[in-house]
Amino acid sequence: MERSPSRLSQVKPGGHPLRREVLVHHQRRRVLTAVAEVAAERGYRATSVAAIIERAGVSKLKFYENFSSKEDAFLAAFDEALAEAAQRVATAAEAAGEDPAARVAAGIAALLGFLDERPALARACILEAPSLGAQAGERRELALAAFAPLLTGARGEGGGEGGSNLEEAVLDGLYWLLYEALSTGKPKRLRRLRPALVEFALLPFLGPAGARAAASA
Amino acid sequence: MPSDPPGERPEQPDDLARLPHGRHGLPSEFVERNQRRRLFASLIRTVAELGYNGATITNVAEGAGVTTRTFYKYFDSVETCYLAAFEAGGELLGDRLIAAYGSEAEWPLRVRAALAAALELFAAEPELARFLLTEPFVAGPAIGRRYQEQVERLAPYLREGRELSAEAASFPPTTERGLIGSVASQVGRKASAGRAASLPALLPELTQFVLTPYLGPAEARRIALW
Repeated sequence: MERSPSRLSQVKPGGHPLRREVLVHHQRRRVLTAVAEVAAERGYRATSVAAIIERAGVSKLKFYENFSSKEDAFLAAFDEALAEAAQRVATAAEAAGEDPAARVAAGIAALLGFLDERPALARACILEAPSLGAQAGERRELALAAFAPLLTGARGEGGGEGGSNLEEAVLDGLYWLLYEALSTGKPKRLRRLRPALVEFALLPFLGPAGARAAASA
Repeated sequence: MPSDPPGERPEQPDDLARLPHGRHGLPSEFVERNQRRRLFASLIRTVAELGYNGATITNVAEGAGVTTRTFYKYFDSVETCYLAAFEAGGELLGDRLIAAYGSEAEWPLRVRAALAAALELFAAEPELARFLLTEPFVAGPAIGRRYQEQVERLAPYLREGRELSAEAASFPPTTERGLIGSVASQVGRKASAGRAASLPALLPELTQFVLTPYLGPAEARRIALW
């Protein structure tokens, strides 16, 4: 489950011991959590500022102190999620050592772990973000830039010569498989997709044998 | 299955596209087919121009030369109109790809022929590319699920390549859907970015991408550059 509103939601104005900026920070955080939850439940288009502030337990005034619109809040939640996902992937890849295939495998496992921990955020970012149209297109480029370098590391090993857009092609495929998994039926752990996604990601670079070895390691 | 796939040629001349007002004596079934078809065509044009988020009942009806009241006779929202048009269009695309696949005997060439058919279709009709490949994601998961059905319809044809190697035989079941989803996304993005005319030039790269898992890079490249 997403982090639930902390006890801070009950803090009374004037009477709390926390400095104002800490409170503002927590209000902002609660809005980011709420916008992802509401969008995941109802769909982005059916999400209203009213529903977000009700879920977050903040006033309309406080909402508009931090964000200009629901789109602004949603994009802030997306950007924060992307930054955290990229950070986790990079850390996991680093810990996996020098072997490019092991790095890719660890990165994918870390991404899936993050998405499993934050199911509402996962649905919001993968299923609902495209509803923003052109704005989502820009985010897509950022996501690509965040994850492509990991795959580039696997080039040059075996069959790495195929096309300049290979990383993008692989990430498009991985995105689709996540979209498909999240949009069908009851929520299951994405982690179970790890071997299939690792194999898929490495196939064009390492060929079937190398990809399988890395996926089952 | 909608009653009027857009691939079917209207059996009436084009000047009937805008029906005369009043008692024209055309059978009501024809009027309905004609109006639905025009609404689909208008939706596709509108979405290509303004994106899904820019399509309203008013501008879709206007583009079709019908009133919003007529729009509501068939659909209660842009989304339901999109769903129906997507089903018809997705069906048409699938049929084209499957026919192209069937035009060759060898599996690698079959795959290449299907890819070539898709690239030619979308180069000629970039509006359809944006409508079928890119904007369904903007429209949301309800249409995303229809998209998924089309991907699943095509996957078994690609899966036949698993017979070509022992390694391919044990690929994870998601492999084909990932490859198809990737190709659709690459093609859709290029077409939507106004680069539809250059789509056919992608054939070698996409062929190699799709065939490499099954044939290995060297053989895939040979087929790609055929």
